[in-house]
Amino acid sequence: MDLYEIIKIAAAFFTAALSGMGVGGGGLLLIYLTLFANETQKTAQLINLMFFLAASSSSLIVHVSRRKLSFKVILLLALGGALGAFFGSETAKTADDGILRIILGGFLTLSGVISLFGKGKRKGDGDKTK
Amino acid sequence: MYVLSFLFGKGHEADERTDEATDETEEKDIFASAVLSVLPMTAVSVINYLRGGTGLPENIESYIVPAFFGGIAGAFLLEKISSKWLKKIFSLLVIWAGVSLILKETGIM
Repeated sequence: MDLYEIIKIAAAFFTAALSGMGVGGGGLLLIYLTLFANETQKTAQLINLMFFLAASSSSLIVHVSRRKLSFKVILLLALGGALGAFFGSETAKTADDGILRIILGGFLTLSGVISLFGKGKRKGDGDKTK
Repeated sequence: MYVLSFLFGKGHEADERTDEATDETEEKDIFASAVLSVLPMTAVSVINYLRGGTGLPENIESYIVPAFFGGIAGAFLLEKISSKWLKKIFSLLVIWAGVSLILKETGIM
């Protein structure tokens, strides 16, 4: 096994760990695949999606037994998301790779900034006068 | 509760710590729910990509096998790591990734 193969396995393992935690990670693997592994954008996207199927399925074995999952919300998100994913992947088939990368980069940066500086509303906020 | 807290000094802080622990648990439940809700979207996308003619990459198992074990490790780590730090670390990584992608694509990097 050469160094490139070891880096590839390590990248997949650590980004899968992030995916398993539910904070993302798939986006990071996509960056590794396009910037460092020199895969074409569409091949990288497919690898990334299949990678996520494996990572999330295995993590769910643990989550289902340990965490309180809100199945009603999950069902709504999954239905809406699946519909969006269908149109998204249809669009990706014909879209230019360069434009896809810039859009992805923009979304990643924006979501990172919002997540870092955005103040999430905690339960009980605005209820401190009781 | 707050009257008792003021009466006993630190009681109020203990109450807030309990609130924070509850928020932390709920946040982790949300992370876990997010994983499950994204799964069907991913499956639909994979089917659509394969139907559209995007070929299955030759070296796919190099990513799938570590992903399977990484996913389990991540699920266990979620119990151990503070969600506050998890979000901070991930946000910085995502910003780095997004900026790198834009710089590379526009030829600056």
